[in-house]
Amino acid sequence: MAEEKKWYTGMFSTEDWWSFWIGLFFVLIGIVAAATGVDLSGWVIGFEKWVDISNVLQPDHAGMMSGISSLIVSYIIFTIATCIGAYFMGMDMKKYFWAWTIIFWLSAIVYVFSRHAYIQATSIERADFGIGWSLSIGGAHYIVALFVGLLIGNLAPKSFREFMYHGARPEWFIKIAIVFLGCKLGMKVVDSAGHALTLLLVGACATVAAYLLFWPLVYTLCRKGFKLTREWAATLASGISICGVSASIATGGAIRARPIVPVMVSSLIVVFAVVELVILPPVLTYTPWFNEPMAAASSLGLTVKTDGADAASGAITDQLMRTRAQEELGVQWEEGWITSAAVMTKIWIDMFIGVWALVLAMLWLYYVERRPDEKVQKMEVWWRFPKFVLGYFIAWIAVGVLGMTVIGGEAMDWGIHPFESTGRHLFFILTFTSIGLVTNFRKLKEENMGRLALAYGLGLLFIIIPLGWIIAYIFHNGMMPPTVG
Amino acid sequence: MNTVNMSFFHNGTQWIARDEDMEVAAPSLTDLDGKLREEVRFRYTPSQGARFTVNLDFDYSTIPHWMIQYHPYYMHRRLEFDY
Repeated sequence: MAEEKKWYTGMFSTEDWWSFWIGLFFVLIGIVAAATGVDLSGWVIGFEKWVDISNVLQPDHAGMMSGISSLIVSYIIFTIATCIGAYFMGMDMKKYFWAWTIIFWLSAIVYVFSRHAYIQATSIERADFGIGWSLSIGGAHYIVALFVGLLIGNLAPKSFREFMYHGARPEWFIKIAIVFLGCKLGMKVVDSAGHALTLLLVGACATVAAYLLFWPLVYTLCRKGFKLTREWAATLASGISICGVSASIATGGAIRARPIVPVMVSSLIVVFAVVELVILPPVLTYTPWFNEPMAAASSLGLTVKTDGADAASGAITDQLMRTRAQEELGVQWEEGWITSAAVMTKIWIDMFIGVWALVLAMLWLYYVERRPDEKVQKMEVWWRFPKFVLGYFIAWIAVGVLGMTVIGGEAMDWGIHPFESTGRHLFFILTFTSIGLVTNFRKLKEENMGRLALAYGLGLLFIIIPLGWIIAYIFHNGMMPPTVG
Repeated sequence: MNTVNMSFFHNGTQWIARDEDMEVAAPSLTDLDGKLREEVRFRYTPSQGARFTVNLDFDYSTIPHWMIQYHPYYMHRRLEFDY
């Protein structure tokens, strides 16, 4: 018999909670290291730009161990951590372990080769590497990882693709990375409290504006323009205008739609998000948006419709824009601010999903479909609240407060850097590979997908992206990332 | 307390609610609720004025595995039948 759902239901059985637990576990290790001076965190593997391949692998705390050892230790520790999560989530452990292992090592290989100086060195760095030219593609490792994942996810034999789904968990990996990103903002509070708080507030304002504009417009387009039924129109509107797959599941559930509705909409969202992930970062970097990097990044949070693809596109834009700024302006922007702006907007959007679902549930049950026996539960808001966001804010506050008081900024940076920077980048690339693996373009050929895809594409192109750009510009214009030093 | 906890899912054509003792199916949720009300009356013979709560927890394992990571659950319904 099913058990009654409680406030703590899912605390040890959902990926959302397990990104909270795993993310904060490593943050805690970083804080303990910072407080005690015992090097508990320096083992995390980093991938440096190279011309001599023996230099590519470096532990975050240089000299702690060899690069190869750092890579193996990182694999073992992160494997244990995610396997514990997978076990409690009831996954097939054997399949998860092997699929995760393939994804980890595939990502590591891509990371190594994509970090070659001929690919990533900026013009200023060329002399350091003794090379005369380079492509200067910041974030090339992410793009290559995505394409490798896409190749496997679309061209490999079906049995292998389905096997890889057991380990390809882009949302889980990105949520762990986002908890790590909370530390980054915690450190930023230590350095520049005003800037971080401004980012928090304008992100919230932009999100509210987006909710109130996006959803009604897209819903109307679907109903009037494409004659979709209410269950399809509402689910699609949430998918396009709020936060992709999670919003379409939440909305589908709230309006009591048949599960096929969010399933089909979600298939569409994942494909479109990858297309946006590839196109938008270069578009933003090589247009006048370059002059408004924070606004540009914030627009990604409003327009790219999964957490993974949004954070991933923020990370690419961060790399591309910083490379361009260094090359053309001679300015070195701090790493992570542009990614943070992209993620901040999305986090606000995620937090409001529960409230939005509650509003829709009440509207549908009491006014649209009128089922008198059914009661809407206020706990919906909590059940649908993204728990990794709690981890993000706890990490932010803990690192910020302790870094400004008892531990001190320098010690905190030493202890937490392996996770907030190096570990975050590792989980980002795992996300990119996984996004590619789970994105199946064949889904677009499925029956009845044509009209949905057209509605989605038009809604995105003519409502979400233009309005998202305007809203992001209104709330973030003039904000610039701090410069290094 | 008069509470029944059941799981439910959609099989492509019908909503199906079930626990160890009973299974009810209907093409729409409104029909399902009506059948559940009658099934509860039949099985538990509630007295006049009694209220029965039926918690319906959607069987999330029927959602494609790759989607589950995006959101923790699909829906949870609470029905209150007054007899």
